[in-house]
Amino acid sequence: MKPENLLTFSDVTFSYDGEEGQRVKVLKGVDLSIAKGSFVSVLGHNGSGKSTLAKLMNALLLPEGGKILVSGVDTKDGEMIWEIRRHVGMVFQNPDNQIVGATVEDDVAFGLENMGVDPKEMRNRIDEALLSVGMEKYALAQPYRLSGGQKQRVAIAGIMAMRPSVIILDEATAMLDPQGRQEVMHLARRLNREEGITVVNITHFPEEAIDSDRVIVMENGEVLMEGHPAEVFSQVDRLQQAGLDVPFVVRVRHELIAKGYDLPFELHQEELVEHLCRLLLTR
Amino acid sequence: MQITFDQVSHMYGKGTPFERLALQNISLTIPSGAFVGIIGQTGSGKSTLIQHLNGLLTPTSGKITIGDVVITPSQRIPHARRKDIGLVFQYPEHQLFEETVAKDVCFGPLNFELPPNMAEARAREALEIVGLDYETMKDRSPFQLSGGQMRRVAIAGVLAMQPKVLVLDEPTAGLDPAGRKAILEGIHRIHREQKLTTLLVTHSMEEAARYADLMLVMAGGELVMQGRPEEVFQQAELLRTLSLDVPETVSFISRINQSLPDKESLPTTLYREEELIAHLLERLSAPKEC
Ligand SMILES: Nc1ncnc2c1ncn2[C@@H]1O[C@H](COP(=O)(O)OP(=O)(O)OP(=O)(O)O)[C@@H](O)[C@H]1O
Ligand SMILES: Nc1ncnc2c1ncn2[C@@H]1O[C@H](COP(=O)(O)OP(=O)(O)OP(=O)(O)O)[C@@H](O)[C@H]1O
Ligand SMILES: [Mg+2]
Ligand SMILES: [Mg+2]
Repeated sequence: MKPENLLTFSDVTFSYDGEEGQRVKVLKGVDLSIAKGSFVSVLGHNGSGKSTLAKLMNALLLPEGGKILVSGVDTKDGEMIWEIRRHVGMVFQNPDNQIVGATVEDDVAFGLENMGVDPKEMRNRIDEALLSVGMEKYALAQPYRLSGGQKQRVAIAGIMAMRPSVIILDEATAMLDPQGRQEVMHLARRLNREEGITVVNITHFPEEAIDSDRVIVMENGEVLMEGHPAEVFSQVDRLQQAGLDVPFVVRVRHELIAKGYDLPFELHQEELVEHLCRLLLTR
Repeated sequence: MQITFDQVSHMYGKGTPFERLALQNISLTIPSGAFVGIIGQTGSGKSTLIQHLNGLLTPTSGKITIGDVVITPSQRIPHARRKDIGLVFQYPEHQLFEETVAKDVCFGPLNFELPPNMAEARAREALEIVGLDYETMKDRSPFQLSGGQMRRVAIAGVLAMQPKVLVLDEPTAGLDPAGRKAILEGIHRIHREQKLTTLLVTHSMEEAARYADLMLVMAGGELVMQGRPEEVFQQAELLRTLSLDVPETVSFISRINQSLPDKESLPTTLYREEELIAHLLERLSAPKEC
């Protein structure tokens, strides 16, 4: 059975207004589709068009040319704009800019209030959303007391309460400490596996893309590569030429095989360590 | 310039219901010419600590010295000395304010009375270090850039001032891998050539391990550990309880050592990737002893 596509871009172009009125094309005919329930990572150099892509996915921006469908709905359909934004939630870099409520639960309630959800339903949804991000114990806490990772989880709870189908993380881990980063990535994976949420993770950390279903690599407004992480990350030189990098494990193996050692391609430390120890012990 | 903190505390919102003690009795000494890596959980006080260096914040109690300048609760850093200390903010949008990239990067040098042609020369040089082309960027608005481009402009603005103390608050957050590497290498080169004292706040254990000769570890407003990277990264368990970690090289080596007999263990201080790889290649090519 072919998986259903939740998001499709067909020949999408986009330009921003430049100085003196000229338009600067930053997406140059992007075709891509994101399957329902998948976990997709987006990599690409600074200015390659990742955030623009994200904003087009939830109709914060509209395409100049081409077409974008979210669950079959054209993002240009003005009447559906709020429905699209509810479906496609976004989390950004700065944890402090995303929390508006005086308490954690106020913050989660914010979007629901705007939607006019009735109070009893609201209570249920807040509890459910906080539970799904593991922050139920902090419902009454003041956001400033939370760590960066916890703040990002609250931002995700605010989205979960809207019952979205997609969560886009636009470098949501960039400002977090190592454990906070792991916390947010674990949460994104769990929501993807257990609650069927489609996740689009835009990141500069190749390690975050290892366990994705698919990786999309952007370069200068175009899709440079896409495929399973193993397919994409096996092209080490091509990625490095595009200003990008591969996960640590792939780099280490790449250096060793360049010197003639025989090691199979791996994405995880455990596996590479196993092969490497065998090699070290039998040499 | 040597930097010392003597029992420095900082309280936000003193005397209001929102009082918050963000630094508690910090004492430390940073030798002139050091490259310092500062790590710590989100909210541990890293930004608060470094904002004391350029007068953005003043201590609630305690004393700071930077070279011969003394900063106390009642004594601010003199204006003329501020140009010696360049601070790259954690969030570039807090730093950028001019209409064009060129004006923004030239602002510091012009403000400290450099003639316009020299200010421009410095701006060109600084933008080159951060990987941006002066001609294509100069007339663009800094607010209509991608996140990573904005950060590059903010870093360039500080480099153009040619400060003696360079303070960088998570300068590589949001940069692509090539930009990260190129910019830090550029900064490290300037650090050595111009004998700067550099403080780098980072959430990347790899960056701290690679560049720092002294590391400071913050937790809950206190300085909880300091030392050379190889000393600090020996404490993997403690670091993890502080929401931190060890560089991936270190966890890779400890995983290898779990599967090797003790006498074949790899040294645990190979925290730079190229050293680890060189060591592995050496081991793989050496004839087996015993
Ligand atoms: N508001 C704007 N006005 C004009 N140009 C813009 C604007 N925002 C972004 N751009 C330009 O569009 C291009 C794509 O930007 P985008 O923010 O999508 O990149 P990105 O891949 O998200 O980069 P980063 O990794 O730095 O976040 C860049 O060249 C950028 O300069
Ligand atoms: N302007 C402010 N007013 C009140 N409290 C503040 C202010 N700025 C920071 N704080 C608080 O002071 C503490 C230390 O914050 P600081 O920004 O120094 O942490 P940090 O280590 O830089 O964190 P991060 O890694 O998230 O940047 C935090 O609890 C923070 O909430
Ligand atoms: Mg972006
Ligand atoms: Mg900070």
